Amino acid sequence: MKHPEIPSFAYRLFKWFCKDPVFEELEGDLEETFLRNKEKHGLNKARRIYTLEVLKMLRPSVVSKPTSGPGYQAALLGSYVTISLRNLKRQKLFSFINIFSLSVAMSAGLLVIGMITDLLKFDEFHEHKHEVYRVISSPVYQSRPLDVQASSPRYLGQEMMQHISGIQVTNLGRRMQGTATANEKNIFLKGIYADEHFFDFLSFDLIKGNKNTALKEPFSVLLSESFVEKTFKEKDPVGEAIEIEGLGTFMVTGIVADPPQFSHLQFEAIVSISTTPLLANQGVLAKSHEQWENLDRYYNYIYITDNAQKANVESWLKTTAPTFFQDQENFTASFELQPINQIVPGPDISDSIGPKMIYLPIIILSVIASAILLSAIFNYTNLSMARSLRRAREVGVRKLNGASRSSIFGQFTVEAIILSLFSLGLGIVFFRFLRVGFIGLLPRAEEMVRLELSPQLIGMFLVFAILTGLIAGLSPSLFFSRLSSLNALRSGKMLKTLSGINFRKGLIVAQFTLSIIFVMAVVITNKQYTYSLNKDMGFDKSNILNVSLQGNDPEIIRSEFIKLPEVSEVSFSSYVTGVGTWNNLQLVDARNQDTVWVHDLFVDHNYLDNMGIELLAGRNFEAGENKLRESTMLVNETFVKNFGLSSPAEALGTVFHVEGQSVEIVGVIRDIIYANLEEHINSFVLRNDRRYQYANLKISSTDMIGTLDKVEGVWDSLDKKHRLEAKFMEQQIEDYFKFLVDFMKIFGFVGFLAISISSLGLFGMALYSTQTRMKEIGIRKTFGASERMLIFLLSKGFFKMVVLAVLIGSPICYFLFDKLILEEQVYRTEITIVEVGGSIIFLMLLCFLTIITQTRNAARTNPANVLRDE
Amino acid sequence: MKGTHLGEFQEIVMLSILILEKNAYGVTIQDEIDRRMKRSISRGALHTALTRLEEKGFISSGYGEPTSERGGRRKRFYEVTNKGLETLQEAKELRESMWGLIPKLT
Repeated sequence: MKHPEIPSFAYRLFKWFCKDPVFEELEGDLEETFLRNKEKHGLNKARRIYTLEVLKMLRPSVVSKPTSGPGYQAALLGSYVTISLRNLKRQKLFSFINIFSLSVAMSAGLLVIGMITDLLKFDEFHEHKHEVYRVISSPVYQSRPLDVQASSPRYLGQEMMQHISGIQVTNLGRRMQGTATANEKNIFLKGIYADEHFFDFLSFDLIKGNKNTALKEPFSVLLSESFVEKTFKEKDPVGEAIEIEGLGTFMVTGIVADPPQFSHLQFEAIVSISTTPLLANQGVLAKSHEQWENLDRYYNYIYITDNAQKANVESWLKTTAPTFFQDQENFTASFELQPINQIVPGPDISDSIGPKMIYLPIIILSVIASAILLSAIFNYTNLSMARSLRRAREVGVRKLNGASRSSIFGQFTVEAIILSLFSLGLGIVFFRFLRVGFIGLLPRAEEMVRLELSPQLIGMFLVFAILTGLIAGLSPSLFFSRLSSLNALRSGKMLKTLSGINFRKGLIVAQFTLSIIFVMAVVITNKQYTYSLNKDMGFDKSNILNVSLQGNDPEIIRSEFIKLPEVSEVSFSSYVTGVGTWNNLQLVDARNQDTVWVHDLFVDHNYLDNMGIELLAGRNFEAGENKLRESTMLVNETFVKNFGLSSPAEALGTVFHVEGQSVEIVGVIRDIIYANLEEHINSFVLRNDRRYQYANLKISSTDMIGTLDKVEGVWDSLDKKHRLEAKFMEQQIEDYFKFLVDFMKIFGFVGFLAISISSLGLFGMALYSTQTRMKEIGIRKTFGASERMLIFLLSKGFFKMVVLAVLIGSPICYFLFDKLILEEQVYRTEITIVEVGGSIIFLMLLCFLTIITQTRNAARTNPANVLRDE
Repeated sequence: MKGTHLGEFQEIVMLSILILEKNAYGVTIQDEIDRRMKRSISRGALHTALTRLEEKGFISSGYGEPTSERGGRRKRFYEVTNKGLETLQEAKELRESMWGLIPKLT
């Protein structure tokens, strides 16, 4: 009932914020003062003073505490946080187990999030990223579809521009590489070809030179900033000439900024694409490259500004473009547009111009990371449920005091989120440690992902942690908020039915199933790896140093290297065997003109001895016999068998036409694994005296590093342009099987995470379940149960779960490897009881150790201590 | 140290209550302080001080009868408790003893 002359806004405001108990007094005082001021100073001033006084009332002693609305929510949240922190502190072990396992699991999730964020950044720097497309081709050969290619015909873009107006096209080419001689320095240079429209709509910066003309003239080159730093340093390279080995001499027309890290186009230099027809004329590049039928090496990027144009382009690609093929019946292709920012990560397309990352490994890693995270979330759920006895009382008391369901729910959810945020802190520490190793797990990932902590990434991590907390807290929150206060306070009897014992057991079994799968995966992969390295490939790979000839004359190489006392023999070959290389060759039978496809390898007459390859029949090559004209060759056992002959000796003397020459089989060798362990041995031919790429040095010294130094010394005196490229064959073969090591690393890492999380979960369960059974144990003990019996009794339940997990997990893993993964290999190890049993024993032992600490403690307690209260 | 410390403003409020004897309520206390200290204080600030003092147990309060002059709202009258008086006394003695220790004062 305010005085009518009092300003009503101020009055209402005051009434709104003032505490009820003091309102009457203060409002009375304010009104009294107002009336007096009206007498003294007049109405207006009195009103002003009143309003001012009201505003000065805004202080804690006057303002009421909110009971609803956002302020109230904030206050409630504050209380949740306080209580959660107290709970975490009180339950140190529980908090530790949860925070540790969640953070371990989170680190895996963080790595995947980091990787995906990095990959999504690819090509986002292009100003016109939504308007630039690449033409990709799906070739069809004799109505059989071939792999989709990122490349398209060389002149597709130019043709398109003549038919459709208003679009812009740039034409690129890959594989511009070679040793460059610039400013008297020899450095290997890798780059691309591009035309003068390159800078028109792609967001690469030209630091020096003319955007429109720098790539116009043939034999022009733009060098990247970092390449200029390596060669010309401070000197201005523009106008200088550089030589690129195998391509010619180029004029430097400018400097281009290094492409951003997250660009699918990577280059150290750009050569004008108008050079390629000239190179084709010179025979450096194949002439066929320029034809429409050639879908390799060249790329067309199109800038399209509106949808109508895009429709035009698409219909032109669909109807007109294929008509350029000479023989459409035999070979044609369909073309599509691929947005530039969907190239990485993108679909699996061959002939890519830069680094590529397909969806599959990302999906696999995401699935694995989610599985691990779920496992840790299970732990939280599990342990929270296990603690329900203790917490149920708290919930009961809260409910009796008027807590609503939603506030109990809020409490438990906030608790889970806080725990999850703590885990995030630790998880980020793990993330920093695991980063480098993780990048190493994925092939070529080091070029593509950085996993650097940016504010944006931290923000995503926070969202991730809060989501994790929400999911982890969901089921405990629901459970506790549903408890009726009566049930909650009656505790004891309700425990079993309340805590969903079967559900919890199920979760533990699921965790250990994952664990056993990963343990077995590591063991089996390791066995395959050892098997692969020790497999007898039919040749002696020890003490062989393979030196890449890099265009040098084999005669000179041999005569110089043989002078070294450490080198006992030198042979030559066209590729290194056993590391996944092979070469196709067509033979024509001289008698009936039948053609056979075989694999071939060029070797000299020292090769068989050097590599310890056994000759079954006939003779080896003789020095110089194929020098002028190819006339003799050696074949393997499989060749003899495939040719339908019963013994190696029968094959001798058979003549084939090889590349237009008549060549006679003079010898038969034992089968060697020339390609790799994944491929069957095919008919294989050794040819002589040309196309050597490698010198095979047989080293007789035991000092490998010293020998390598000497070899390098000799090389440097022979070839001033190239650096020595030499590798021990054993090392090369080991490197070839590195993918198995990578597998082991991934399985090992994930397995380690899975095992530590599930062991922590098991530990927590054992802890709480023995604690709740202390009285039972006490009673049993007083009645004479021995320590051993008690341990058995307490551990039995857990072992049953682990055994169940093993029963589910090991067959899954066995079939996964036996029928799917190892089946890919022709030469593979067998999975025996040793691997399966070993993994199982390992896991069981781990579980035993985890449980025994708890059960033994429980079994050893003095019953008097436990039962004293009864 | 809540409960024992006596701030300067709080001391003045208590003294004002003592001066006003039975008529000490919000408006009069405010007037008294205005008059003595030549300083205008807001009712809100006074309220805070009164609340503090009451929390410390130095003053007590009770509602008077409703009066028509203020829209029928009751006044809340304050008086100083014995504890409050003691504390005031102590503060005064402390000051006097310290004044006494000053060697010379012109």
